Amino acid sequence: MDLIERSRGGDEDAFAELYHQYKNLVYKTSYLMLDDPAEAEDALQEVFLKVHRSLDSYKPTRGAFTTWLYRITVNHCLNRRRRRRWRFLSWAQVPPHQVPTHPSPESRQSEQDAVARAIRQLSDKLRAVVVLRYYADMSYAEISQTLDLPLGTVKSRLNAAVRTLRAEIQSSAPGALPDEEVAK
Amino acid sequence: MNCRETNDLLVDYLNKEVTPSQSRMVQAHLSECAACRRDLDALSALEDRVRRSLHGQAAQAVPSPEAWPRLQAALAGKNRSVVQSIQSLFTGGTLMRKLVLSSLLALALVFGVVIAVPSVRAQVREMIDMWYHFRFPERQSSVGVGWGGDSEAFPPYMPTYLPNGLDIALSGGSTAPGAEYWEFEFHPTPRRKGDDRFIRLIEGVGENVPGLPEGREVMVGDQPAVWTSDLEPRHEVTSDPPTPASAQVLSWYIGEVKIELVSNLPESEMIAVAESFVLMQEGRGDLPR
Repeated sequence: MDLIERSRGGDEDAFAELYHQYKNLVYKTSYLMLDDPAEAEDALQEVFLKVHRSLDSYKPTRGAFTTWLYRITVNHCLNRRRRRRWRFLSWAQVPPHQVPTHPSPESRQSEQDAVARAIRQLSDKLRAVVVLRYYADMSYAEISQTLDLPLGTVKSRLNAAVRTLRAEIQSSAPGALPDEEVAK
Repeated sequence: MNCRETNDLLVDYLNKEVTPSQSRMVQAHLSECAACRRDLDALSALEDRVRRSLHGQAAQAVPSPEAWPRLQAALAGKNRSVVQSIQSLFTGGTLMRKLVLSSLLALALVFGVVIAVPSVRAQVREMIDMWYHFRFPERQSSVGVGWGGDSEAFPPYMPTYLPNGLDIALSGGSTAPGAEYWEFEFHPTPRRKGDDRFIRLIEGVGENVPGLPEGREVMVGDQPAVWTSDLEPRHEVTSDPPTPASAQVLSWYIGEVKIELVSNLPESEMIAVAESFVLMQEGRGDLPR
């Protein structure tokens, strides 16, 4: 907490320490959400710029710093993914500067692991819940706080994600799971 | 508690997110139901694999040493963006000052956009690798799609028949590992109140494009196709209004291209649209001037 207080007060060394302490959390979460090292690195910069700008708005009484940091990171990644799926109107109706970029070649690399592939095929909303639960090891309540979602929505999304992953893995890699009995 | 009720709670039970009474009921059912125990084991194994996969991917992901100096430079204002600069104009100050600044900014934007269009176009030309331009002579419309990837996009198929009033409204593409997609949407043009007809067209190529779903088998020309009302997230329309509940999906292949036609049109109309598909011939070209 001292680190945060000192950073708030403009202590550059404290902010540097804060960055080095949490850079992996931000980068790795971004990588899991975006599948692309270059985009994860951009996310790392954008997230810490936002942290630097809005440290004053972080209220320790409303949750852990890491929960706040995860929230900024995941929201940034969700916005980034929304922009990535580019689409636009016929040329005559499109301001040229809005032409979006295409996903980078890194995201196209072949992925042999059926589980990783299934995770990547999840919708953004389900993927965010899966990353927070199974990577960040958050409880449903923490996920609810991070994503600003009702607890019931977290439950239903995680259940939907697990069902989707299970069906996807069973169809792409039969026998990958020990028992394939389908839920009744 | 029966199998279905138990099954609905198994993920939450594994994650220790059930109430004590729910936990007792699940345990009681599991003690006498071998099928649900196997299901629990399968879910547990799945969760372990998901955890291992995520941690394995994350272990290999390390930020570069350049990330910190780059952030320092940005913090020092060297990379201060125009947007941030404009935002800073509005922090503090009186309402009148903000109004004056807003007016000046609006004027500057109007002139800026008009003057800058050729240069903006030049930047776009550098940014994208290829430009695809498709024409619809019968409907006097066209679509242009910039493609910034490192390989050529596959040429899409498009319908030559559309019900009266529908025209292309959106186009784009996306990629995922082992899959490339074109996406097109057709809506009433111009939009008319109460007319919620739509067609969403998804064309995919690649080893990870999902195959034909389970559903009612029909024919599109001489090609086997599947009719289903089970919509996946990718089938949802991207614009307002949201996807009508009556939407259905017609899926089939033309060569290696998997086609999904999502629409609330009557079945006969959807088949007519599907049977009118031709390969787009315009293909790669320059950025339209």
